[in-house]
Amino acid sequence: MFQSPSLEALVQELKKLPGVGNKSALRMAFHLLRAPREEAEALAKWLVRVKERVRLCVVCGNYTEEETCALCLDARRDESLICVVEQPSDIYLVESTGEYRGHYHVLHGALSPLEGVRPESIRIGELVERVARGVVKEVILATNPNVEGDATGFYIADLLKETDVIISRIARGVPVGGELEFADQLTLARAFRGRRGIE
Amino acid sequence: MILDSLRLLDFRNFRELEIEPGGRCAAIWGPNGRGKTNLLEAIFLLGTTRSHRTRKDPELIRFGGDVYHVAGSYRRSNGGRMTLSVAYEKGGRKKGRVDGKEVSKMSSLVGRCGVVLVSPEDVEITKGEPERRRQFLDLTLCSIDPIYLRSLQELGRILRQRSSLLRDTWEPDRARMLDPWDRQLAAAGWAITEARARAMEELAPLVEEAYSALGGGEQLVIGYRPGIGREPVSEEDVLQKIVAVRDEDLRLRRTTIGPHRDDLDLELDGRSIRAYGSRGQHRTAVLALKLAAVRLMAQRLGEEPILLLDDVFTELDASRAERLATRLDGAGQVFATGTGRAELDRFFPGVEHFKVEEEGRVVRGG
Ligand SMILES: [Zn+2]
Repeated sequence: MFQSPSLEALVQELKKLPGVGNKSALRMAFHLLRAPREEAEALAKWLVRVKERVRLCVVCGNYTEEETCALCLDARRDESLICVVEQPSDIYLVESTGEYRGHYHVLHGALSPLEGVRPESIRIGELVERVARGVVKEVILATNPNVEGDATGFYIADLLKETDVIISRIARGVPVGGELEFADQLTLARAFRGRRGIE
Repeated sequence: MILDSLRLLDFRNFRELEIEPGGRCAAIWGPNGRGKTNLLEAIFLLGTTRSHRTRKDPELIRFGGDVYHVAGSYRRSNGGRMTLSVAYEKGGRKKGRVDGKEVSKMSSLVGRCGVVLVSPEDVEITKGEPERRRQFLDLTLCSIDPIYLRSLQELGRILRQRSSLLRDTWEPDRARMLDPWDRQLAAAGWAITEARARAMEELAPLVEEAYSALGGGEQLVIGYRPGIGREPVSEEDVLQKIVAVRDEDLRLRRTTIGPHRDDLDLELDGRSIRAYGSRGQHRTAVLALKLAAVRLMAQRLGEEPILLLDDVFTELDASRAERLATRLDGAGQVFATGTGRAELDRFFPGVEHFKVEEEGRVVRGG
């Protein structure tokens, strides 16, 4: 379409980003082309940098540039509480409610036989190990309120059944079938207060 | 609900069309093959977000077009107004709007305007496979109960996930892996079974009454047969039943019990209509079911639905057609298609006429 293979390639790469179609990819490419050189260079620099430096916290699975993330190291947080989420982005949602001062565990997915996601494919084993160390008193399941998130919650609850920890699921104030991402702050905050034990 | 105006862009054979029905009855007529049904399909789509004939939205785009738009402007019985629109672009996602505002999920459009459609293929509801009867119930219930619609979507997803596990013979610990899905199958299954049972209790007398009002001499009795087993009493009970057949499911590699196996029993004077019904009896029974659905939707939505009658009058004998025309109370507005003006005029005196001409043109008055 263009007389420039580089521009063509950039558009192709941008189109791979989630939620970016042909139109938006073109708009972004033209914007970058017109923007000052520094802007494009900064973008390129940080793209490479996150790939080089960002890794998963060895404790909770959150994104970090250290071995252990700042949330896990924060002594003011209650380490007897673990909130289990599907994605690191969910941590920011829970944090934004201001209702929660415990630790996190990021699974990086949810059970889905259709897509070949099995218990070993996500960080369920690591969670069980954390609980086995004995400091944890309550596990709050905040997986997405859809069938895969619920299945994951039931599976984890079953695994931890024999331990002494209290297992709760945040109340279904969040729209069913949706994702945590779409729950507004207030509903999520209420959900944290109203969490119930899972039998 | 009254549809005041309907606008189509590149939908089926219509390049650009605006009609303003507005009255209680509208007759859409013209020779076959000019797209009369497509107009009903568009009204149905606004009420349910999908076509009654295909699940493939690209098929709805006019040949040579890239995007279809369907928009309706409605008047409620209390005078309130509402606009609904649906648009689909090739390769994209279907988008819906309520009063101009885009909805995040298409499902939130369902039931804004209740619609009941009667088409010639509907004879399969009483004649065909159980799936057709479940579809009839689902179509009625989804419009009046958003929780039902959600449970139904969840059920579909749970069943697909579960059968993927049932087919995965490499999995060493399938029982444990099935557990989280079985619990959800029980929850969704119970919710759907309960909603269907409750709806059937309300529908049964309406169906029976409509059948005799349409001139059916026999008594039409309709009953619900849950696929989750006889008389489930609670979610726990359903879960027990699911767990009890787990080995069987693993052997057959499919989910053998659940609402996806539900059926309706339809009997005329104690004999199965599916096995023994005549053509005329099937036709009358289908109309009775649809009229009952109109009544139920009117009661539950607090607003009378729009009734779409596709080629119904050509198929009915004169006395049944007359009875049908006098039984349309409960419907807010009626759209009826036919090949000739006269047949529709006979049953709906004072009806507004829309004649479908060649190349997707529609002439008012005809
Ligand atoms: Zn951490």
